Amino acid sequence: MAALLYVVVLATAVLFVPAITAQKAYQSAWLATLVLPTIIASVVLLAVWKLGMYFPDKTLAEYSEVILGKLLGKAVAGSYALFFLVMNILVVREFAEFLTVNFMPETPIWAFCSLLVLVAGYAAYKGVEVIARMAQFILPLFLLTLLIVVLFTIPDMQLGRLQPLLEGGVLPIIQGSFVPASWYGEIVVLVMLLPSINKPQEVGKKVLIALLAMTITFTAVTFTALAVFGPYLTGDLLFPVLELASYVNIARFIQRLTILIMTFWVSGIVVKSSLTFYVICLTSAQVSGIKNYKYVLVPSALCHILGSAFLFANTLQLMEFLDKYWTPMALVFELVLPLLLWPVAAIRLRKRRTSK
Amino acid sequence: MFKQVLQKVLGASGKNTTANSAKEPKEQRPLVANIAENLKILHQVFDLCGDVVFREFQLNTKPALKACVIHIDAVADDSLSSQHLMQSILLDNSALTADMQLTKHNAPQILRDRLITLMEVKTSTDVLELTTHILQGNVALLLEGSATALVGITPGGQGRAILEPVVEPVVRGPRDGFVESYRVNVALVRQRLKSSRLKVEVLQVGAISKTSVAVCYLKGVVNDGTVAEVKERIQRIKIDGIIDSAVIEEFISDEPFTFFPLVLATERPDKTASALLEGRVGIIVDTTPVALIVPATFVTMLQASEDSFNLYIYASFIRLLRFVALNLALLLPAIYIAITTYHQEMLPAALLTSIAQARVGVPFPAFIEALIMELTFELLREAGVRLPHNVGQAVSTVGGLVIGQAAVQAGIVSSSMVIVVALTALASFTIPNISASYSIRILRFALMICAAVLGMPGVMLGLMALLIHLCGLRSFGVPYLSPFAPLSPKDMKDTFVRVPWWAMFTRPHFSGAKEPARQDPQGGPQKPGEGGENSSNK
Repeated sequence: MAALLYVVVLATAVLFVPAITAQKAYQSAWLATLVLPTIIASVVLLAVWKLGMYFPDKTLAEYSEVILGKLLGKAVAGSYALFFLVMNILVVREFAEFLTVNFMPETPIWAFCSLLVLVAGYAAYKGVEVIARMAQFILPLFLLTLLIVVLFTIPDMQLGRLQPLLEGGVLPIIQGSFVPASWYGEIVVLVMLLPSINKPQEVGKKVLIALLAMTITFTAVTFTALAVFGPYLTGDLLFPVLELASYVNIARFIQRLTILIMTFWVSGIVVKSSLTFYVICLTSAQVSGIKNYKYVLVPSALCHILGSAFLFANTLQLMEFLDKYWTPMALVFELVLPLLLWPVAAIRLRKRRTSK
Repeated sequence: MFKQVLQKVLGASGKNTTANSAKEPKEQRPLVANIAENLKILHQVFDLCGDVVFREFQLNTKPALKACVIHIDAVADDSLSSQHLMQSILLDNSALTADMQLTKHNAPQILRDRLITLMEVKTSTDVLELTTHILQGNVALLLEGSATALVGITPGGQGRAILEPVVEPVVRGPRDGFVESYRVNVALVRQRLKSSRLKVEVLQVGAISKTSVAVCYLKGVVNDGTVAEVKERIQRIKIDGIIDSAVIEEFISDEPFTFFPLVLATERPDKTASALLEGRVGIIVDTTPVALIVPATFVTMLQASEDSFNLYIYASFIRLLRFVALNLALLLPAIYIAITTYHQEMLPAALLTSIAQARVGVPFPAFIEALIMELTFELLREAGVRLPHNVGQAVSTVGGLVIGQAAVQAGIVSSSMVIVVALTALASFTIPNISASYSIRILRFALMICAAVLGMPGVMLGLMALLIHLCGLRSFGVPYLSPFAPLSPKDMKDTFVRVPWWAMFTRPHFSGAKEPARQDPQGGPQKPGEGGENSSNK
């Protein structure tokens, strides 16, 4: 499970976030990914986990009705379904964007979108267990490629590019923290997955470990990107980590590893998209009272393809959306709503207990 | 879901499936005390069966008792039945004392206890049971005035000698292979595991063929649930005949639609025995020289039995090589297509130039070129398999000279493509499991199409779809990709590498962990002079 969430968060975060963070926090961007987002994500985790412990055999879509009453509960759960949908549309689009921009500029974007949705839909059809196993299988490969990138760009690093630390005070760092925080907060998918986990009591600890591992990896990657490119170039590049990969040069033979790196990212993104896809189907099925989530697969796949292919005109629009709209929206669903639900649930449950 | 569709399309309705056995006596009917009556019934049963021999004779009693021996020619062991049954009844009366004369009433008892020298004699009072016995190659002895028939167990049947396995040869290791008789095969396994814990449960499958299927396992090592599941799935098979264990394999597979073998097939008794020690279940089918082993995982498809016998360092090296070969066999043509079509920038300049030079004048795009060559190779392979051995030489001539060299010289394919295809073929030969190599061959074409359409991302998406499929597979409840996904590092002792035998402490996880330890952890090799306390394996 920890492996699953690790892959899920990092798969796309590593691609996009260093650039966005660097635009805000400049040379201190690696600090921005380190401290605040981890704290925020830990709070998210705590809230999600506590909620899960109140209702160990229920998903959010089920217990929100218990907490908030039928109408409001359905509204919250439904909005979560929409939120996950937007999230996955973004993932699919990011994936297609990444591939068309870097590798196959002449291929229409909907081709990649629909193929990814097809593959992810297949995984979602197979269920969460299969997705988790996929993540386990891919994790070593994923880590290996990141490790290669970080290790073999060490000769190109200049630590001087990271100075002066905290140039503009703490404010830019805080500003820059929200984007990575929204990514780390994606662990909120747990609200739908807790009931299907074998030992839910241990989840809190395991996910916390995953969270720390995420932070370390992600900070290392951002750090590397900053040290190699400097803050301005990192901010201007679309995919700094990919450019990093092209710096790898071992014995003048193993070089231009970008495509190799790309292949493993594709795998990570497929896992992420599959999980989100599954969660979307599960949420919307439970909200609308459909017994088997598989019936929702086809309609939501259509939503995905259409949304991802036509919602944004180009890469810049996507980046702008990620930066300006996505972050607050994500934080509402990831942080605010669970934090609101948690006390309400606690009060309600206590009331019920005393009345009995 | 697919299965229902398939059933609809193929028109199976389940109504006429059991009709096949209608001609044979179905309900039980007891024998009567009249031998003429009994013989009449049996003659009816075996009407027009030219190979069933009725041998009527008289016992030398007073009054002479009529008797009849019934067996099937060459299915029952003739020498066994004539020596130990006929001789002992008709000639060898020395065992009978004066006060023990054969009469109608005690004949079956005395014959069985005092006269017949066969190892195993049973009695039967039922026509159906008796018929089954005769069909299995046993000898039935009917006696006048007795409603009980004696059955001498004399299964013989024709078979070949134990030979070296053809498909799974080894340089070092035992050289006996399974044969067509399941009794011999079970014996070959039993010789390796001399323990009463090796259980052999014999089931019968096939309404007409009545094939014996032996389910073998080590009690206490195996997961009992798996055994029950295996037996249940085998008993669920309602078919007219089992010609080969492959039929059983398809019936008991967890997932009806997959490229991958979910049951491991082997013709090596040593492999079967070591699988049993790991807590797997062996299924030995009569008339088949191939045993089935479940649960199978993906890794077992890459384990050759020789890995267990070679030096573990060398075996690990070969194992790693085989993993590389697996990837080559699956991916090489696809990657070649993707790189030459979309991602030329990936190659170092020198390599790119030589490939480009080789491709000058080739009229086809890389995909078509690869498709032509791969299909040609598959054709050659198939032709080589179909041809008799002494004509087979011709195929290699055609393949090597005509298609390889001539095609390049004529400028139809590039020489680099020939290298790719040759390497792919070579790699696919190293996969020890034949059915796994078939699946790799098919998937290679699928990935080539992915590469032609979307380049490397396409290949990756294809691979991911494959991974999803593999992650969803189970073989008798065991995830197909274990021990990688779900991860269990303890079970990785025999995967990418093979650890030394003295370090294989535990059995795989799926065995139910009733008896996880395989050996005494202190039992590793010791350098002379080192104490027994700190042996070298921790």
